[in-house]
Amino acid sequence: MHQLPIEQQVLEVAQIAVLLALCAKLWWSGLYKIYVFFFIYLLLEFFQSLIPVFVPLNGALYLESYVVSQALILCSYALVVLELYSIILRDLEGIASMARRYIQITLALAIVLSLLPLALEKTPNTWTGYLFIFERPILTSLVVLILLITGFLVYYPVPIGRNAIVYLMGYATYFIERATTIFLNNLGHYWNRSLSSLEMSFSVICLMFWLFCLNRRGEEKRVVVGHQWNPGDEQRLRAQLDAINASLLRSARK
Amino acid sequence: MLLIAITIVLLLACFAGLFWRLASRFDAQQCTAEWLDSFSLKSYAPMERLLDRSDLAFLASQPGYRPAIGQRLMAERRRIFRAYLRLLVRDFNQLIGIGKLMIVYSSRDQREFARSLRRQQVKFYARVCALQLQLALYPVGWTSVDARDLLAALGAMRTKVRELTSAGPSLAQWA
Repeated sequence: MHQLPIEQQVLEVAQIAVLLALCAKLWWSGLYKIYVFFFIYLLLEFFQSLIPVFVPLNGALYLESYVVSQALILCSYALVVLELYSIILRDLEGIASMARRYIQITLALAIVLSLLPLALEKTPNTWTGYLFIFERPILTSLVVLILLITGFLVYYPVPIGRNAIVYLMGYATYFIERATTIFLNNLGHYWNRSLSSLEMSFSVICLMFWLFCLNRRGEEKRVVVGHQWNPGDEQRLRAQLDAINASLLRSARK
Repeated sequence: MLLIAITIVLLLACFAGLFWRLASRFDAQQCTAEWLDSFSLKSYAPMERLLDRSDLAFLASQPGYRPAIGQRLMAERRRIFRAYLRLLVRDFNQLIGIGKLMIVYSSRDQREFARSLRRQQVKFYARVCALQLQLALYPVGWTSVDARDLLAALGAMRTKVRELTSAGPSLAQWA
């Protein structure tokens, strides 16, 4: 790690500390059982951030370790996003088939949109170059997917907890930033030190955001008819839905 | 580089807007049974003749009439019509809100109803835009400002929402 610039050494230490704290918080609060893939993603990030501590940066081992770990992390990006939406849309039979169809269409659209800028990117000639060529479209498609599915959640009054909104905000910000830095790199702007420092800063900020904003109560604030997480709101909403139903039936009989 | 920066800013703005809407959430308290009980299409009956030029023709036939009086009358009538239009759009959105609420909390798949709801919503907003354009052209002689299509669309939405209740399990059983 002594080969990293000083600001990146500081950021590296901060990232490791925040990752540890976040993993511990998820474990302690039991949220790791709900957001399994997110927890796995954090563990992968933690192990990846330890690589510069033990492996010299100018060796082939570092390159191989980074590429392998980043490939695993890329898989986890997609899994955490899909996991979040499957949790949000769970038990909503009324919109289940619609949501499935919408996700299929948005996924296809996201992939097509993310492949368009490939024509602008330079042909890679290194392992990391090939990795970035794959990584940028995956991240871009996840950004588009999050944008379009969040639009769906806004259009329909889907009950959603505070934790889910916090996750979405963190994912969106981090994926946009990372996709942008990789895209700039793929265009031939090799501002390695600046872009790396920027990326590490964003990573630390997102992790700290999740660390401070995710908690067990963020799950309990969700208002869902039929669940016990927020009994007061549940009863009020149930009574209201019953009253709406009765009013509609009365007018139907007139 | 400028294009990338603009794209990023637009993306962030879209996300900020969506997250703000997500965080403020749909307030189910706005769609209450009391509102449904008091809702009636009859309250919009005046819209059908507010901009009827026969009133103007009658006024013009009276002694002492000046064109400025007619212009002031029709300008006032247009203002009132626009106020009715705003209320109509608000009520339509309330019904849409109730329909979406019922879709989300239904224990059965409501894909067809949701599709029909979206279609009605698009048609309604298109009609509102057309009506606004007609209102803008009214002072220069456009005479056919007709709100009956909109009122029919509002009635159809009410019927659609009512059908969902009659056809399927009650909301009380959806919990």
